[in-house]
Amino acid sequence: MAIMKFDIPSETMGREVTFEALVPSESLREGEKLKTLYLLHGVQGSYINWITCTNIYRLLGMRNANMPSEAADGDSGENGHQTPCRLAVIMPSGGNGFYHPIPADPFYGRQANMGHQHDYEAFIARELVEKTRKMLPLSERREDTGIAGLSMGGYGALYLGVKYADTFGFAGGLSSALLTQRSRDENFVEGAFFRQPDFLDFVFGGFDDNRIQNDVYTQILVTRHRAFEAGVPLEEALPELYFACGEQDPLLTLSASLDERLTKAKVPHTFETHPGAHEWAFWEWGIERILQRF
Amino acid sequence: MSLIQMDFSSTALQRFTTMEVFLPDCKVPENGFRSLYFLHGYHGNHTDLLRRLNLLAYAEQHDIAIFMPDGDNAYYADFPERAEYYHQYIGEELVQMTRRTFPLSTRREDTYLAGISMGGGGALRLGFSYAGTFSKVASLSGYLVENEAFDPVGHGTNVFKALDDVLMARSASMFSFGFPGSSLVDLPLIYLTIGADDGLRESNRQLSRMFSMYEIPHIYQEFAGEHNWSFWNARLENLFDFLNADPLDVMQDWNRQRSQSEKASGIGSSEGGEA
Repeated sequence: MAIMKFDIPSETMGREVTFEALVPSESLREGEKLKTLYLLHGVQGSYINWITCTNIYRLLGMRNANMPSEAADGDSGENGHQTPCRLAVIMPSGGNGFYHPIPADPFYGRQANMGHQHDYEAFIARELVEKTRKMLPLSERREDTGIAGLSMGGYGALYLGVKYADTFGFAGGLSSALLTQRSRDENFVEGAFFRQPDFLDFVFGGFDDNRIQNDVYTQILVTRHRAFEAGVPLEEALPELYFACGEQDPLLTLSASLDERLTKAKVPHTFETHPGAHEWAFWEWGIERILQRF
Repeated sequence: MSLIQMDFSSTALQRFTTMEVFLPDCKVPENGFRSLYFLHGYHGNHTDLLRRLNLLAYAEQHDIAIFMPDGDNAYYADFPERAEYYHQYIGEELVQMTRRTFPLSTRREDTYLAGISMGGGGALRLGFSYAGTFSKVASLSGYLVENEAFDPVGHGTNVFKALDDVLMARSASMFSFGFPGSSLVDLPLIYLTIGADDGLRESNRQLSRMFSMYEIPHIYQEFAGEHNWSFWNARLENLFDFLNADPLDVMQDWNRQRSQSEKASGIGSSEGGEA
């Protein structure tokens, strides 16, 4: 399996950006298309974290080795392409922006219309998907495209996965930082810069209305409502939702609360817990679960 | 232009290897991007061409994907005793793997090979062997390993010997097809350039004379300069002119070059401008 470091110009980020990709290049068959998992890091991290801190290279290799590079006969998709089975993983950098559009340059102030933003949302959900599909042999089908992440990236994956459900058929969050208005106000988080109310307001664009829109649960309900209005089946309107959290993780209440609310609202999802804290040992377990599942 | 550093497992080399890639950002053409495989020189590696050449500007201007593999100090030859088959790696495995990974044209006319010094010699030999893959081959200050002492165990690093092999195969096919000049696959169009003060000038002149003698179309150009990066940076313009040229125009240049050298009789090559 090839490990590829990309440096590409990005319009939505207004700068050159770096990301890593794991692609089974050496054994690609003629015309083979791959499933794709966009994998997001946590706060204070970068594109390199999943590679350096987990065994993802080996885990993905084992997962792909157990998959035929072409589906069985009679399972071919449209245009005569075989249904993709093997998986590529794309790991972008999201700064500390919770995968939102945030003002990047303090000299340009905080106005959203200044055009000098780090638009992590548009970058991950649109530009990165579009560009990686152009550069690599990736399936463009929704059911072959997933997004996942840990902590801040778990929030980002669930949020973007739901908001861009036309692109993503799977959304997975590990130890997701599902920050709500209440979690900000209750100040369960203190100390680190990214737990400060000022920083959260900066990243999430302020209080109340914004925060409610940026909430994963709200996003899911709004999406479901729109699907209902449009007569779209729920499984087409929402990605497959998977989230998990360590049993000793202080963020466990956030995932457990989402599980509880989704269950009450009868939204299909899978929630798992496993021994572990907010740490790589847990994410090692979690990424293996996600690679198997997706 | 996107820059990609790619690490992957090679069957021909029996190990992980690495390369740098420039991939154009423009819309992918209907047949895929044109591709240039660019080989570094002795003492170098795949990052040489990034660090010491202004290749990026040309890649951007001409929307060509450029692949810069790591060739060690191995002359892009096969070493069975070490289980390292660089010749096969570049000519077969790398081309196939890159074509399956990236949106590249698989057409011969869109596939080029170039190299500097050791990479220039390697590009020529690979061009002879994989004439069906590459339509154009360029050697910048190619080291042709003409001295047998450098190839004592017969790894096929000597470009003149490789040319002999091509000519032998050619004459064999000539007999089998019964008309002169025929070959199973036409050789790629060849561009040779060398510095007037480069110690490798005589061998490159000699190769050009050989090509002319056997009517192998090629462009040979000498310019003022030595065996160094400033010479190769200055040659990028010539290299991309060659890659972008219509093959028919290259043939015309070749015919012009040939008639000039016939006039100058005895010097089997033109000495291109700028000296």
